[in-house]
Amino acid sequence: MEREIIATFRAATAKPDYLTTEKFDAMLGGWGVFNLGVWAAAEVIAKEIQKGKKLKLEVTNEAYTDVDEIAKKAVKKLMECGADPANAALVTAALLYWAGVNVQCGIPCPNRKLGAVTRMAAGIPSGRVSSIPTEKLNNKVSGYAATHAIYHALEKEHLAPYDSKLLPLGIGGSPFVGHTSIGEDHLFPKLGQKLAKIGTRAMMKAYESAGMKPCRWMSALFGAAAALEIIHPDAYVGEEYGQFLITRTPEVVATAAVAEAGLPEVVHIRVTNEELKMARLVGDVALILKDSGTPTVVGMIMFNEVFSIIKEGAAVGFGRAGGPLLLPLNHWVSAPALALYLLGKGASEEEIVSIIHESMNGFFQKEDATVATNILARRAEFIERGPLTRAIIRATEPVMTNSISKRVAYAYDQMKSGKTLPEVLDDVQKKHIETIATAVASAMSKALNKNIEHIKFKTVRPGAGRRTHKFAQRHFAFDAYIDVEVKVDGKVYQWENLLAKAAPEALLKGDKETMDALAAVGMAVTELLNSGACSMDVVVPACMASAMGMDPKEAAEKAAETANVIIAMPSVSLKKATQLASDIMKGLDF
Amino acid sequence: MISKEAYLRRVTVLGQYCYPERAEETLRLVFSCLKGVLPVETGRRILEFLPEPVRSIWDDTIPGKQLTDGDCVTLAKETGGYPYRAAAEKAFEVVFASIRELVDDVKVRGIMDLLPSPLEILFVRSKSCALDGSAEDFL
Repeated sequence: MEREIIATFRAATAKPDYLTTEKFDAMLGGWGVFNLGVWAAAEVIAKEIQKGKKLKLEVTNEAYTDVDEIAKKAVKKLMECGADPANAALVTAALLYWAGVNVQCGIPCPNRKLGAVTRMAAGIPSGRVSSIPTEKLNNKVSGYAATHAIYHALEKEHLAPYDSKLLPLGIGGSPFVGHTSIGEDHLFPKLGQKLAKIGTRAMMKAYESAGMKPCRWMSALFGAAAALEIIHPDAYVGEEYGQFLITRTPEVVATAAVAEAGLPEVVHIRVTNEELKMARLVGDVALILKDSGTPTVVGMIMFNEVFSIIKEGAAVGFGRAGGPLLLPLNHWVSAPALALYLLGKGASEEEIVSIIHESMNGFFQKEDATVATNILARRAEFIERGPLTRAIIRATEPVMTNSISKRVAYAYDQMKSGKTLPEVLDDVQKKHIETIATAVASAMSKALNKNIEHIKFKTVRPGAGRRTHKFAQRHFAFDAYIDVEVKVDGKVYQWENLLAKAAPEALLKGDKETMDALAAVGMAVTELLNSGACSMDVVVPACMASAMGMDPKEAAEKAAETANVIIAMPSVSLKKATQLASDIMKGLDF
Repeated sequence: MISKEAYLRRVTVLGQYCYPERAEETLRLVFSCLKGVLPVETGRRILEFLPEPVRSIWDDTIPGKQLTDGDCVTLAKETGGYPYRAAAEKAFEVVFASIRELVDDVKVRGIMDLLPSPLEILFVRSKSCALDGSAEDFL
């Protein structure tokens, strides 16, 4: 084996940080994200499952149960990793939900609700839906939209299914209403559905008015949660709505929210394709949200990413990092959330390994996604290791090793044959862009039910001319210049300077045809803008150049200068990796 | 006697299925695998404990692959396309839970005694697979 090959492979893979442009240590402060905390908290819960702890809220006559204890441990771990207490509470509830804990039980005492259990574990006061922001979709709105619309309707109209003034003295708030036909068959379900519909519609409108495509999942969630703040959230309902001891008001209310948001009635878990009833899911999660406190936008981003284990994914609004796009790694929690779900269901380690491995097929760039998942799992092991990181590393290590090895061999052969680092990287970058174009054209043809014959990136470089600052001229992510051609159902569309000129012009003019055509290419452009999440295509040739004698600092700088698209942002770790390759070479004495 | 429609609705609830047809699919899969693993005489004796409409569904179900090692959960996992073994076990629990709700304790004991030990464990575990717990939780 050539020493350069060994040095390059070892340097590139020595630390998880070396294969990304992202700042893993900063993730632990809660600054913008706390996804490594989510990995660690999922691991904490997984270990409790393996200890045989009971993950169920029950009507037992005891002050605290196993779930309270597990919630405290998970919340603590999240807060150690930078999560605000309310964010820790909400994310813990979401993780426990996927681990198999039911969201509510009992009336009136004990009346255990998962959102409240985790909030009390964090020792924080309750919040209100009006104060909860949505996750960020460029902009964000808040539950205020739903609450405002609901109270406006309550003021302007009479929404209860009867004249409330007729209720005789002494029965208001009593079982006479709450545990009988009046409440269970009429008041709670009928009023709840009206409120949820109003709230959901208001959320959709708020998103749209603030320049965002409405997130249907979040809209339904907030619409249902705002309704549950008003109606009885624990009541059983009449048999027409569902069976006794099974169906409660959250699911009934959510049915209206789901319909109003135009959500699918059934969604699926990634890879396993297990079916989930959307109304049950929305009702359960709305109840968690209502009780969890007042999370921040960062908390809502992480919370929503925990739901990216649902196959329908970002198209419906469930997180964004579960695929197909390769998002910045600070979003990624799909793998531990999915592994935790499987462990909670009783899957074996072998089965989890196999399912996590298969889940990588959901990405446009499968190799990059697998490597990204691998380095996150390896970094997460620094904080908390256990059955989840073990399974995820097993699921991703073979592809990671294969991917890096292929690149090492390629870089070695090319440089041995006389090519310079910039020449090698120029080829690699072109190939990387073409691979994305091909993968997106194929996937979007299916998604849009159109024949996207090709996506051709004519020019891709930093410096679109919107900014004059030299930093923006150097780094693709800050002022990207793209000329692209796409052929859809036989028609060719060409755009010059897409992001600085063509797209904004079309959007502001309301040019629907152009914007529709952009749907075919938009994901490919986004994928380019997100480049750097996995930087192996750049790190490996740079390390090889360093191993072959180039000054490590110069290798890193030349690499960043040439591969200015696929490491869209500046990278400190690149310099560290090239230095290590050089150091290793000096130590190899065979 | 509970109608077949009402019984299937209950199985749908117990299994938390999104589509009603999943209930009958699960029943037929489980019964087919049971018929594949149990000796004919044992199957006949279990049938005696089953109430209608479960009995008719059992009767109508074609036996699955004949197994000698008795691992009909693996057979169900493969035949039913379940993503992991515990999901196949859950199918058995749902069906067993639905039966337990329809028969008295003597018949529960009788059925349990006839099942191979791995399935007996699932039968015990199936006592309550309802999402919100059984009514016993309130006592």
